[in-house]
Amino acid sequence: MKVLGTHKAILHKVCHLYEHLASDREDLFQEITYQVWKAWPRFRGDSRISTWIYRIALNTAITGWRRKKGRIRLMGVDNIHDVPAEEMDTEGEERRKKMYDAIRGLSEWERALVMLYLEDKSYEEMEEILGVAQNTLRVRMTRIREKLRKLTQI
Amino acid sequence: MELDEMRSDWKRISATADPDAIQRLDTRKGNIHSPVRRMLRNLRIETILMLVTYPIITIVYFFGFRGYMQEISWFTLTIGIIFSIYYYRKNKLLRSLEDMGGSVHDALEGKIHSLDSFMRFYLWAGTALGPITMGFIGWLTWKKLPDIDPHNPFFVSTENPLVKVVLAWIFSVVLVTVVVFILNKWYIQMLYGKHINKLRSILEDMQEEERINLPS
Repeated sequence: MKVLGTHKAILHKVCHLYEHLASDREDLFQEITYQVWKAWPRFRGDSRISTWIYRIALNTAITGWRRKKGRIRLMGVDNIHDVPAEEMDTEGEERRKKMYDAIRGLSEWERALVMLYLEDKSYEEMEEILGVAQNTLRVRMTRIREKLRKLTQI
Repeated sequence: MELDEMRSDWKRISATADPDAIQRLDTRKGNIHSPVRRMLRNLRIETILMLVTYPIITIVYFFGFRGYMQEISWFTLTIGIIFSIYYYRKNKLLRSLEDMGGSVHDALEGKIHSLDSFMRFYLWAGTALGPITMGFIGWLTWKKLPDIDPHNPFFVSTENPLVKVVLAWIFSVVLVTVVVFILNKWYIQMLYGKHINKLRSILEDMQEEERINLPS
């Protein structure tokens, strides 16, 4: 539980990237937390805890089997992030909305890659988490940059 | 907007939301509603029901009716053995679907492989049960009921030569097998199809660059 508390931000970010609805996000958050809690006895310490948590969180979000609530999906700044009110400004708000909308326009695994990139992870660590060769990741990142540029220009 | 410009905004999104979420989990550990966990629970219920009912039925037919209906207890025993294999494989599959360790690529490959082999097993085992049950009922009727209607096309009589009976059996078994196969395939597709297709398309997307870079 202490480990989860320390790495709570990772879990929240993954939930925000993969679920639009607050209730779906909470379900995903609970599911990831449960998976981390369940897998904890098997953690041997051969990778960093954060790498291990990223793996579980992304695996749960991408490969996990969840039933959606089946309600209308809301797209908007109000329900996509949790920046404290005092830090909000109109321009920043607009930018963040654009950012989330653009990232959500990517495929599921591209979203994971962008997230790790924004988290300042090295390509070596990205390879460890995603299981894809560094060269392939670099090529894909170039394509994602191009894609995001187009998406944010629309 | 450039990707690098997003970094500063990204850093500001933090864990300010719902600080009690993790503590709350403590009380919900066994109560998280995921389809996999629900299927595990259902499988456990099915197994308990089998363990309670099958031994009773087997014992009753084996020792009851002065041993006249012992064949039924052999049949239920066979079904029980098939169910044990089904339980073992399904339990293994659901556990593997719950395993979230390993890299995303490996997890995808592992889950697709497990689901694929389980769906194949489910399809063929489920389909085979139709003709096996038919054959067993036919054999039991022929053995236990001496006064079968001579017009019944499934049993040899003065009116039904062997060739006609064999053809009637082949036709009905093929018909039942095809219908059971189609229904089974539809049911399996409904249960697992959407999920496995989603996993396949993510894996294909991940392997796109590797495919492009392959020498032709």
